[in-house]
Amino acid sequence: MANFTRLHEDLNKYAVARNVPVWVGGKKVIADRVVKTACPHNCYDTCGVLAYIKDEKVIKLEGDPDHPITRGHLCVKGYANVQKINSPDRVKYPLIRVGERGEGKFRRATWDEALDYIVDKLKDIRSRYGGEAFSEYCYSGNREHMAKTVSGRFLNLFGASKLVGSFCLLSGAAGSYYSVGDQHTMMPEVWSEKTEMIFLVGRNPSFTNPHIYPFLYKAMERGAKLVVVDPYVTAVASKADLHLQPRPGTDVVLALGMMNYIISHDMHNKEFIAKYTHGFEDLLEEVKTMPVEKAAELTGIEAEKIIQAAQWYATLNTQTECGYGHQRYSNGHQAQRAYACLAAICGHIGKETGNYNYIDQMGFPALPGFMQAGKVMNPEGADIPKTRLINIATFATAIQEAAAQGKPIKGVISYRGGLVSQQPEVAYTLEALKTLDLFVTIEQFMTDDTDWADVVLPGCHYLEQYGLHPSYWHHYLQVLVPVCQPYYEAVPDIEIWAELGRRMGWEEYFPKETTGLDYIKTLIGENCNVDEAVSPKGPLRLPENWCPRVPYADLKFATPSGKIELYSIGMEERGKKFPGDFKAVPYHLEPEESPLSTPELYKKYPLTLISQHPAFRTHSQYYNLPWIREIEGPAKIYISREDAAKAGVKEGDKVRVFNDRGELKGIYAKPSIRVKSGTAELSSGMWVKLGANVNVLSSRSIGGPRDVGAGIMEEYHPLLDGNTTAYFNTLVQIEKM
Amino acid sequence: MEKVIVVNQDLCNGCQLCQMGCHLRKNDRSGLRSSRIQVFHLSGSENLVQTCNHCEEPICKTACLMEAISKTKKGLTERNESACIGCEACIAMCPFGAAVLDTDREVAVSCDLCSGNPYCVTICPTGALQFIEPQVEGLSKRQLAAERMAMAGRNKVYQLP
Amino acid sequence: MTSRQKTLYVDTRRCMNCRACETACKLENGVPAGPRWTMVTEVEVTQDGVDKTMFLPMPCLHCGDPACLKACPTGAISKRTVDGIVLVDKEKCIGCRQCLWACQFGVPQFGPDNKMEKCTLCVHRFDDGLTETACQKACQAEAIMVGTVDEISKAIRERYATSSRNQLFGNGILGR
Repeated sequence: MANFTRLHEDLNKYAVARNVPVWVGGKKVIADRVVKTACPHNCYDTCGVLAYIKDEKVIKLEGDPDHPITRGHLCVKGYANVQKINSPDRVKYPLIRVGERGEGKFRRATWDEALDYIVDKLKDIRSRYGGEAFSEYCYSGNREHMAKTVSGRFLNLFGASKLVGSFCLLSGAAGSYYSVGDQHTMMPEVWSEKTEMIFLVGRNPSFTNPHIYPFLYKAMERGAKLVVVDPYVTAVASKADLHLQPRPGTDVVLALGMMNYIISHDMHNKEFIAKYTHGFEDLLEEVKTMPVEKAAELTGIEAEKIIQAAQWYATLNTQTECGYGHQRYSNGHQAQRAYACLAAICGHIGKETGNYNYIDQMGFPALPGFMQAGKVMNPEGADIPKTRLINIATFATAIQEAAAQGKPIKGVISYRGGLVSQQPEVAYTLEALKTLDLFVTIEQFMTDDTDWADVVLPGCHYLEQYGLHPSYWHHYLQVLVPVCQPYYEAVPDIEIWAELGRRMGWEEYFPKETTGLDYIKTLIGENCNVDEAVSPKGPLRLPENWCPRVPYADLKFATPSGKIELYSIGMEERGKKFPGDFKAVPYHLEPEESPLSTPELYKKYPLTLISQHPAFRTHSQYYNLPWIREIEGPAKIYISREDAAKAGVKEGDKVRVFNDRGELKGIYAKPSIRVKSGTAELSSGMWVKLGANVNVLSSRSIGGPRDVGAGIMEEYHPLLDGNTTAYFNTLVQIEKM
Repeated sequence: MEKVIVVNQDLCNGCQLCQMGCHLRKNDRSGLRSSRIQVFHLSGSENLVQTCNHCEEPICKTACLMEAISKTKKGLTERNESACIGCEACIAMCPFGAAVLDTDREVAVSCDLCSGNPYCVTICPTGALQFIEPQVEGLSKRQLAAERMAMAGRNKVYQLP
Repeated sequence: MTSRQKTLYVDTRRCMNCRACETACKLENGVPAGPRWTMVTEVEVTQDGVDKTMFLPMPCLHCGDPACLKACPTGAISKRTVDGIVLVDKEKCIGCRQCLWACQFGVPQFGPDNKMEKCTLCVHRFDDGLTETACQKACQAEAIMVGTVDEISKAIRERYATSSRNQLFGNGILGR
C-alpha cells in the first residue's frame, strides 16, 4: 500500500476473551479474540454484537447476551455480515475511472494517486466556484455519527455547502415534536410488563425492529391486545387482534375518525385534556368533520373495525409505537401529529402502562446536545464561514437549482449512502450527477454509485472502524470499536477525511494520532462515561436525564405552551416564517399523487406503489451476498389478486411496472392477500443496474411541514422543518410482458 | 444439478406405457425387457417404477471393468456402448435395477434422459413421472408441507378461549 | 420410560419471518448458497375472514421412522440411538437423491458436490456440551425449541399455564 497506511493500534485491548473455542462451518476453531461492538445499520435495535477474530479476519458473529434488549440474537443481515466483510467482491484498492461516467470502467490506483487526484480537483473547484461548490453526500448505510463530525470538520474548513435533513423520518419527527416537544421513547422492558394494548403504526418489525417481538409476546401473553395499522399484511399484522389496513396516505383520516368516535361517545380523558393539553377546541372542530362513516369511506377500512379500535384505544391503557411508513406521504407530518393527538386525548402519554413512542432523539444525539458535534466540527481557532444548506431529501433537485442560480455544486464525496438507488426518481438523479466535475464514492462494493464515480475509495465495513450509534429506540450504548484491522487496502472513513484534510494543508486540525475513540470521547465524554461502553465493557445504560425510563412522566412538555399541543403554537409561528403546510391542527391532505388528488393520472396508473423496507437487506446493501440473494430471490411486486386478474397476471409472470417517470421490466409478479386492491408493493433498495429499483418510479415530492422548494436553504431545523421524501406518493400501472 | 426424472410412486397406475414407449423409441420395436425404465407390479395395487438416478458416484461405474461408464460435466451418467462387453456387472450391482441388458445388441444400457427431453415423461398419463431439478422439487415439497401444517395450527399468541 | 428422541419444535404463533435462523445456520455449518438446511416458508391463509401470513421454518424433522433412511440404498443415512438425530454420512452417499424423493418435507439438500446434506440438529454443539442449536440461539421471537418431546411439551404447557395465570390473576389485564 503506497505511502498512506492506516492500521489501527493493537486491538487486543478490546478483547472480551482471548483464544476462545468457537464452532464455525461445522468445525471447532480457536478464535484469537472475541470483541464486543454494535451494529450501526440504521435500525431500531442497534444490536450488541460479539465478533470472533482469527488471523485478523472475522470468522463468526453472535449476539451479545449481555445486551438487555437484543439479548444475544442478531438478525438475518447480522449473521450475513461475516459473508459481507469477507466477500471477494469488495472494493480492495482505490480506483480511478477510465471509461465514461456510467460505464463502470476503472483502473487500479495507489492511495496517494487517488487522494492527490481528489485534492487537486477540490482545490480547482474551490478556486473556480468557491467552497460552496462542494458537498458531501452521507446517509445511514452505516448510520454512525462520529465520522460525520470528522467529515463535518473537513467540510467546515473547506467552506462547503452543508448537508442537512433526512429523506427518512423527519416529517414525522417534526409532527411529533410540535405535539409533545422533546422526543423520547419508553423502552419495551417497561411497557411489556404493564400495558393493556399495543397500537403499532406503520412499522414492520420483522424487518426493521425484530427485537420488539419477545416484548410484544410477553405483553400479549399477559392478555394485552395488539392493533396494527399498515396498508400491507405484515407478519406483525398477522399476529394482531385487529389489523387496520388503510388506503396508503390516509392515516390522518383514520386517527381523526377514531378521535371522532371516542369524543362523541364521551370516552376521552377529559381531566388529562384539561390539565395537560392545549387547543382541544380547535382539534375538536377538525375532528367533527370526520365521522367514522366518512373515515371508513376514505381509508377503505370497515367502520366496525375503526370503532373497535377506538373503543379499545380509549378504554385500555395503550402503548403507541409509531414507525415511519405512515409519514412518507405529502402529509406525513400531519399523520404523526394526528396519532400524537389521539394518544393525548386518551391520556396515553407519560405513563408506564402506555406511552407514546415515535423516535428517541438520542438517535440524533447532536439535537439534544448529548453529542457535542461542534467540538469536532468547529475546531478551535479555525475560521468557519457560514455556508448555504442543502436538504438531502431534495439532493438532486438542489444540484440542478444551484446551477440555475449560477452557484453550482461541482464536487460531491459520497459515503454511507446509495445516492443513485435511494434518492427518488433515478433518471433525474443521474442527470444531476452528470453536471459534477468530481464525484467520489467511498464504498465496500461496486454499487450503483461507483459506476458514476470518478474515484472509488475502498471503504471499511462497520466492523473495521470506530463508531457512535445510540439507538433511537432503546437506551443502551455500545461504542463501536474496530474488531479487526481493515481488510485489503480499505481505510476507515475518518482516516480518509483526515488525510484529505492534511493534504489540503490543515495538518494542525487533523493530527495523525487522534483515533476514533478520541473523537467519541470529545463528543460525548462530558455526558457519559465512555469507557463503560467500550469493549470489553458495555453496553452502558445512558444517563436517565438524557433518556428517562418513563418519558413525559412529569407531564411537562417542551412545547411553547408547556403542554401537549393539539393546536400547535410552534407550527403557527414557524408558518409565519417559512412557506409550507403549517396548519396547526392535524387535517387530511391527499398525497400529491393519489386516486382522489389526481384522478386523471389515476386512470392511467391505478396502483399506489408503496416500497417497504426490504425484508433481508438494509436498503441497497446485502443483495450482492449469495446467502441473502438465495433467501430473497428475484425482485417481486406484490399486487392484490383482483388487480392481478384484471391485468391477466399470475404468480411468477414477468411484469412491466411503469409510470411517466420510468419503467421496470421483468419484475416477478406476486398476486397475494398482502395488499388490498389498488395498492402494490415493491421493496426499496434493489440496485438500478439489476433493473428493479423502485426509485426509478417514485415521486420527488416531499413531506412537510416546511416547503423547502429546491432544497437550498439559509436556515433549517430538523425538528421544526421536517421533510421526508414522500416516496409513497407514487402511482403506477403494471402489464404482463 | 440439471433436471432428472422424478417418480411419484403413488401416482403410478402400473400401465407400463413408459416402459413400452422407451423400448419402442430406443430399440425400434415393441417390448418390455430392454426398456430403460421398468415398472414392477407389487402386491395389491402398488407399483414400483425404476430408472437411472444419475447418481453422483454411480456404483455401476465402479463395477464396470471396461470403464465404459462415466459422469458428464452436467452430472449425467453416460455409457460408451462400444466399450461395453455385456458382462452385466453393472446390472448386478445397481441397487435400483436401473441398468438393463439390451438383448438386441447385447450391451448394458441405462436411461440417457433422451438428450434432455425424456419420452417416458411426455407420455406418462398419470403425471407420476416428472422431469425436474432436484432443488425445485425440494422447494415445492417444503412449501406444500408447510401449507398442510399451517392449516393445522392457530396463529395466535396464547390467549384464553 | 419416555422417548429420548430429540426434536425441533417451532411455535408458528411466534415465528415472524425474520430469517435470522437461515443465515445463522449457514454460518454455523459452513453452508454456501444452494443447499438450505433450514428454510422459512411463507404461507398465506384466510382465517375467520381475515387475511394473514404464516411462517414455518422447515429444517429436518428427524422423524421417528425416517423415509429417507429406508430409501437410501447405501446405508448412508443413520438414526442415532442416543437422541434419534438423523445424520448422513457423505462418504457413503452416492448422490442418487432417493432420499429427496422419499422425504415428504423436501429436506434433503444437494450442494456443489451433489451429495446429500441436511440439518444435523447442530449435533456437534450438543456433543460439545452446548445447549442450543444455532437457529434456536438466533431466534429473536423465541419460537424455536429443541429437546426431547417430553421437554418440549413441558415447556409449551408451562408457557401456556403462565400466560393463563397471568391473564387471570397476575399482572395481566384481566387481573385488575
